[in-house]
Amino acid sequence: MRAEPAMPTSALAGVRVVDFSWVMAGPLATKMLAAMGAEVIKIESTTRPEHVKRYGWSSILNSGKKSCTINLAMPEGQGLLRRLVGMSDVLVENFSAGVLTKYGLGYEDLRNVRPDLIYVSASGVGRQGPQRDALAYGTLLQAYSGRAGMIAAPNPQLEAMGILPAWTDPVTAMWECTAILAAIRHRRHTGEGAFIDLSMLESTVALLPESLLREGLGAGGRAPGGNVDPEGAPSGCYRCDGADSWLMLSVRVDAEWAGLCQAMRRGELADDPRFQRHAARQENRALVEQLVAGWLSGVSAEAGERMLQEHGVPAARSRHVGDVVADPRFDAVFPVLEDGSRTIALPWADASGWRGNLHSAPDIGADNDYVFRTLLGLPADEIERLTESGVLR
Amino acid sequence: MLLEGVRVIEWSDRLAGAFCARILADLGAEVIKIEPPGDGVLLSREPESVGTLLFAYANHGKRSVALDPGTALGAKLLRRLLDGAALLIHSQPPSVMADLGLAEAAPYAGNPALAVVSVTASGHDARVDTDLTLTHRAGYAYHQARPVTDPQTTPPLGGADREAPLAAGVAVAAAALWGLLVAEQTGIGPRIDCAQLDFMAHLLIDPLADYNRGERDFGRNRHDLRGTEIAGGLVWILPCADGLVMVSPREQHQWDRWVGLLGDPAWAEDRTICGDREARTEHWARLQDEMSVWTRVRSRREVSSLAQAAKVACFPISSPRDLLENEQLAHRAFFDTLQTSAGDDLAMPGLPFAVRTSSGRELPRGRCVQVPAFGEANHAVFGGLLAVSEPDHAG
Repeated sequence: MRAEPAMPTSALAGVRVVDFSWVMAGPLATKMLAAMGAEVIKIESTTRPEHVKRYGWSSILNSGKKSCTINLAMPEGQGLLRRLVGMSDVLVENFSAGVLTKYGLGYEDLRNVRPDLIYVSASGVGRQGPQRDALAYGTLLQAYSGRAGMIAAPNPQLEAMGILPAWTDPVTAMWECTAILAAIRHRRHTGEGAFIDLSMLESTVALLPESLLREGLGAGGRAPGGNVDPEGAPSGCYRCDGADSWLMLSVRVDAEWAGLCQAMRRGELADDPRFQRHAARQENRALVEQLVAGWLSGVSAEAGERMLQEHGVPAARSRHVGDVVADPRFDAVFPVLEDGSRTIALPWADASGWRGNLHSAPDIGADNDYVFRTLLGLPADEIERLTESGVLR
Repeated sequence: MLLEGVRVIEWSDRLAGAFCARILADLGAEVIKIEPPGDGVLLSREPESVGTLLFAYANHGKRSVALDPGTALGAKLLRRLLDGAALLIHSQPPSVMADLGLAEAAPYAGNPALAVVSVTASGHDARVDTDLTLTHRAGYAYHQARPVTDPQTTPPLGGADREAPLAAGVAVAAAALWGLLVAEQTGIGPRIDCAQLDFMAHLLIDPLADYNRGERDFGRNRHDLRGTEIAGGLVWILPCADGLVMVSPREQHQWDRWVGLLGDPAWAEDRTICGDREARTEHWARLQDEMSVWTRVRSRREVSSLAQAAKVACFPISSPRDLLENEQLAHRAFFDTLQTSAGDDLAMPGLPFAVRTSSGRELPRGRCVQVPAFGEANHAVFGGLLAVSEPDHAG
């Protein structure tokens, strides 16, 4: 008997997420949960400028969520939030240290309300340790993690150091999503909740093992460089013919070298003892890279990429987001939403091509009626009173 | 712990696939790594090279089975393994999978609940790519060097260390857990495609926001992009007696506390250079010089801890040595320890989160980790788990 394909949208059906997170890492993680079918309720407030001002990426990161406004500095707001958490499964936050605890919304408070709650606390350097109160931004953590110094020698203009676009934030979101899904699976099997203390610093450092291992081994560090392929010779990002036109290539094995020679129409170099073997090419790296640079300076990046790929050499021209969005291959990666904007789908697809349930982002407070009346069961006059007194704003 | 009872079969020569499976092992899954004869370019088992240690980083905590699914017996044994597994993480082409009975559309007959995750460079298009060509092709490299003073001489930037395939591996772990949840709910394991190219494109959050605002040109020239630079206004790099710090007194109240820490110098009274963020961005170089007078005679540690005490975000720019000696990371037992064959202890990063369940169980941190020897689990897996007689799996 042939079984029917799985219903992909069902994975997180019935999972309700109370989402206090802001900026980028937390919102991207909860957006992924929403794309997998969870009901994500953003807790916002019109009294907080960072909630009112919608940044350009808000619409990308909040797609598929609900939004309600509660002033959590007010005791009645805190009471309502405790009730909401009591009927929810996951809480996600990235406030400065101690904020939610101050309002009686820390893990130890809320596990009394909801013993199987999964409480995710993301922060710059973690909720424990001597620097736990440190104020952190993703940009600074990209330097504190060592990443920026590996990409380029620091310069006062902060140019080409890998500070922007955000790296630490989205990779933190991938870790956060992974931790939450594992905790949900554990909860379904055991009925247990969990407290997750996630560090953005560690999320970044965990992706830089080679530099740490080289240091620990005394193997010597590499000079800073953002296009270093240790397995390739030649390798690098080469200037091509045309304004700001660049091509990344890497030759790792002898067959790729032979392909490169053919692409350059310099077949005789394939058998040249200075370049024929990988070890020789590494020894004569400067010379071989000069040859490639000379060839590519007279070729457009598009033509160079095509010729190299035709001869089996890994190569790609550097493209900006406009080029990438225009490439039909990425239509499903950057789908167009109901409001005409493009968002970013889940970073995977199932056999049917499904990449998540994706809908436009809510306006601030768009789901107040659903949360306060439908979920919390507040009568209309009570909602009016709480709105007037500033609790539901 | 969290993934107790989950058996994962990993058959991948991609770093993203291996790292995904290691994360699942960290979370408590039993991971069996299928290793056909012959080594990959990167993850070799040569004695004590950096490549060996990267192999250790991506593979500790797993069991290793030496098996060649290209032979009839190997394929049969692999199918037996898959019959009892929850997840398969692989990087094989569709034709190889079809030969194993894992054609793309239909569930696996031997175990319909098996979730299958395919980890590729860019799906199955006919191209050759490396981690860095993927990052350039996906657009991330271009935006990582934007804006710059001279785009004609400053290349786009791929990134640091092995971060691209490893970050993709984290996303693959999320995909695998999604597949596991679907399979446990429906009894049918989904087929999941994870392409590293797509993952890199997923990171273009700020650039896509610019696209959504109508930008189409995306030149890199700093002169044309005034106001979007981060140097000054948002972030400064400042020299200290023993290195560099980055500081970000971006909000007005943070700026006020920052200049207070600097002793309210006379230049800070000049509203034309630092009255608001716009002025500070315009005069970032002058302010850099002024602030450096104070930071240059102090250590990185003193500057960053004084700034943090004043609620201003500030951190050193770390080197790998700094990280190995970092007190915060040490306190949190972030680093695992691997003992090399020479008897040295080497630190390597662990998971970036601590987990405590409501019953008080914790994911272990600061572990002593071990790398499985090639094929060390053959006897246990084929003799015990699968009850295959010895001659069948010898060799």
